[in-house]
Amino acid sequence: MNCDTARIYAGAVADGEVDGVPALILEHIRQCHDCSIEVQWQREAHVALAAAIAQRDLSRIPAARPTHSLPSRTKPPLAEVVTAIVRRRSLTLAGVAAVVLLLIIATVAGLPGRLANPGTGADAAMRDAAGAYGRPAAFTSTDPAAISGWSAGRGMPAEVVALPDETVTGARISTVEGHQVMTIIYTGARGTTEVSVVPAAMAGGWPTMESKKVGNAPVGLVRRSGDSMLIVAPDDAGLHQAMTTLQA
Amino acid sequence: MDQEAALGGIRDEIEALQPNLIRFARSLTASQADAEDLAQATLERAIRFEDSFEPGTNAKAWLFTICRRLQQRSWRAQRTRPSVQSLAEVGDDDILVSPLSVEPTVMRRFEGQAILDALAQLKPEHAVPVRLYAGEGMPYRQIAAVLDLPLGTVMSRIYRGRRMLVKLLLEAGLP
Repeated sequence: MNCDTARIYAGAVADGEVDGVPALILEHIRQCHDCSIEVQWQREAHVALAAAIAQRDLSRIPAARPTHSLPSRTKPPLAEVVTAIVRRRSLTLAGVAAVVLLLIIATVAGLPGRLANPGTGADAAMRDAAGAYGRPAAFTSTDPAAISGWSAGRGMPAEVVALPDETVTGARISTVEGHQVMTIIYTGARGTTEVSVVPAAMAGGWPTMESKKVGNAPVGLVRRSGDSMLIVAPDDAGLHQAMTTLQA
Repeated sequence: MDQEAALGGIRDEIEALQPNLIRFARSLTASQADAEDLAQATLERAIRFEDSFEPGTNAKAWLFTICRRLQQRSWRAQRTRPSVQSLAEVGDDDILVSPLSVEPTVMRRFEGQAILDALAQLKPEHAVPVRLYAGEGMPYRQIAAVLDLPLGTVMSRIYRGRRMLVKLLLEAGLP
């Protein structure tokens, strides 16, 4: 075994993607000083790159809807997509329409109190979190430190908060309002609770706390001074418990 | 969930993934205009064949695979690779043996734009997997499936891509 053979795998080792890395290579990298440095380079390069991409994406909110410049087509199967594209071209009009629609839905559903001050983007974010609920973990572990490490390795460091009666079981990356966020998955007697960590820049107009039903799923948000949280729980009691813990 | 609800779900998901799709298409093409055309063609195809999407599987990987196949078809039709050539014509051997005389933490001193500029100079075969991992958060196996590459090749390309990125940044000078 020599370093030239082993260091090809340095990126995979740095990323914790050691699934297909031969055991001999792993052993060499663990013991070899030069290869360990190579792993550090790979980790630093990834973190810097992920941060640069995230920074660029965040700076494009809300103008980063690249669909604005998509050429419109008229083929019938695309009608819905094209409608969405056209709708986005008039953000103000769409915003007004969305508020009116929300108020109608809230009135019909008897929920005017809950939506009295929904906050900019909060409803869409809660809808996205509910839509992603139940998707499989990309990384499975019951060790909070391992999950924190995995999330940091993807440029989205996330604190794994202990929830009462829940065990952390994994994490994945979800899309909320077109942006990637880290979702921590917990499992308890009630079922699965998911907590998505949202950067402060995305949660600027959100209320401090909000909860609602999206479909049948109880969804909540907790806005904090640093990262904010989107929570999807199996039932109302679980949501309340998780929100109280996260707010504290 | 009935079939109509499932289709509505995938359409919502496709719509939400459009920014990701355009970014991915941009990494496969020579210009923003080409990327938008490719993204549009991918959307058309995805909507037309939405029945082939298996609910519960990864929509992003499905969409990116369609995108990559369309682009590959286009390359084959033109019998050429993308017209824009990489500025980073650094041989792999050079990358593998060149020692780095500074500490890895020096990466923290580079500004985001400098890093993105360096990324834009990499060859597509290196830049695409690096970008899929760092920008889209795709696991290696998913990248391998999307790009139709062996897992080992993905590992090697991500390693080399980052190595080249570091080399380009260091050659440009420390901030």
